[in-house]
Amino acid sequence: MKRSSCDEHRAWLVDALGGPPQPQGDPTLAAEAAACPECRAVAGEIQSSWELLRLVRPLEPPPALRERTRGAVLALIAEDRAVASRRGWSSASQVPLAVGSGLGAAAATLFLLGGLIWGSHLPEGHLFFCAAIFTGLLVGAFAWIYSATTVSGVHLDVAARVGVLALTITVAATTTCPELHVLWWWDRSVPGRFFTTLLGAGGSSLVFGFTYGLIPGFLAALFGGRLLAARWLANGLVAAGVVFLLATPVIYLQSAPFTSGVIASWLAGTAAGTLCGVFGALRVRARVARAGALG
Amino acid sequence: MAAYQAGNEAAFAELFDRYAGAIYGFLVRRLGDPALAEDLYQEVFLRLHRARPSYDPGRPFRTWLFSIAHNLLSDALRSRRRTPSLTQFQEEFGGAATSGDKAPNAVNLGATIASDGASPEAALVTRELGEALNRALRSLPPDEVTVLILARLEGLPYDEIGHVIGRSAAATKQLAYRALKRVRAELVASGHGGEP
Repeated sequence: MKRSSCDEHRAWLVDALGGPPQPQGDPTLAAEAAACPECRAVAGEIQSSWELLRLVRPLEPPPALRERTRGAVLALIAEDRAVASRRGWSSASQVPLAVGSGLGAAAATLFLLGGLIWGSHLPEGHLFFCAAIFTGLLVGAFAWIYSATTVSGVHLDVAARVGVLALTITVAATTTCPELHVLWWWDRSVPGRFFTTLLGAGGSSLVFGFTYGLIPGFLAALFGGRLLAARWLANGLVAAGVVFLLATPVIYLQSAPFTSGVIASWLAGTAAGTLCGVFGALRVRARVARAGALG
Repeated sequence: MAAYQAGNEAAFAELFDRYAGAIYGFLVRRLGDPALAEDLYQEVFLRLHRARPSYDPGRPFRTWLFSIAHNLLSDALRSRRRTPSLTQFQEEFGGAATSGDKAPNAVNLGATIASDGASPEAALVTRELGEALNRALRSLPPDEVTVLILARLEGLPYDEIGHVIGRSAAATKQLAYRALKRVRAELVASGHGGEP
């Protein structure tokens, strides 16, 4: 028998091991195998080993191991389900809600503060840029609110709620201002003139910015800052950060007539005022809570 | 599997019941270390759970599961920097062939040789045969043992086994061929050359 035929026969033998090897199943190979003593011997060896291995029965894991393993995976499935429910904002029902809320709040803010209702003199590009920033920030904030997102004890949802509340206070106050640009109104007011004389235009806008961040930040954190007491430093910083971020487009929206130095002072003052306002409110809340008036 | 991927607990329980024994047998027979096999056993299913989003429904689930077990086994053996032994087979078939005493935590697998209802003489023959089979399997390289376990005990076709061990179907058949020849040669050398 040729060597190539022997090789073919052996390859076929292994193939046939899905069941008992039956060389007679292929007439050509069977005939060649019958004529080749070596192939006959190999077929016998392979089949014998294969049959012997059949004697080994399946194993079963110890019941305790089996139950422990099953329980571990079932616990993970339950945990996955709980995590999925906490991440509800990513579900189809809450994403549109966050986007809709963000768009609605951004549009309302722009119409009120950009003067679109009263007749705006702001450049279109300025408005569009501000709209884009506002929409992104507000969609993110509402997503945190709807998802009740909390990371390592830092309540992002509460921070976002404080931020939106502070923005509402800012928009309401700015809308009631007799001037479209609140900094103009400040510059013409008695305290504004005093600080301008004392500190210059930059110093005056710094003081204005401080008040601009302090009052909304304080009020929002005072009335919306529930749950921020635990890990108060991290929670307070995040809440103040959100308040400031949501305030910056408002400042940007009204920045068109002013120099960059004045705007920078306004922003710096707002950042400092926001921090003081939020942490001041948390301190007040803590004192009131200790007095038993708040939970 | 699709239902399990979607988080259905009953679907997982069904899959687990179907493959719990097969995976356990695979690990114990490949490792020869029941304690390590038990650690890996739970880890196989935890890894299955973590990897379930990546499961390709076009592939047989059984092959995918054994691939996970095989990879985990390879990682564990690599980390231990030792050659996989088949001492479990020694314990399985009586335990005294080479090392004397049986390991205290060993799983007694002596009953896994089919000898139900056999006379004492036949049981002795079966035991001796088991010890010889143990030695034969211990002489095999790891991939050859894997191929034999998956082909003979689990009934996987060679192309699927090839996927598990990362070889072609032809190379897998070659492994099976060599493994069966080695087993036979070892049995003959130990005086068990007759038909089972």
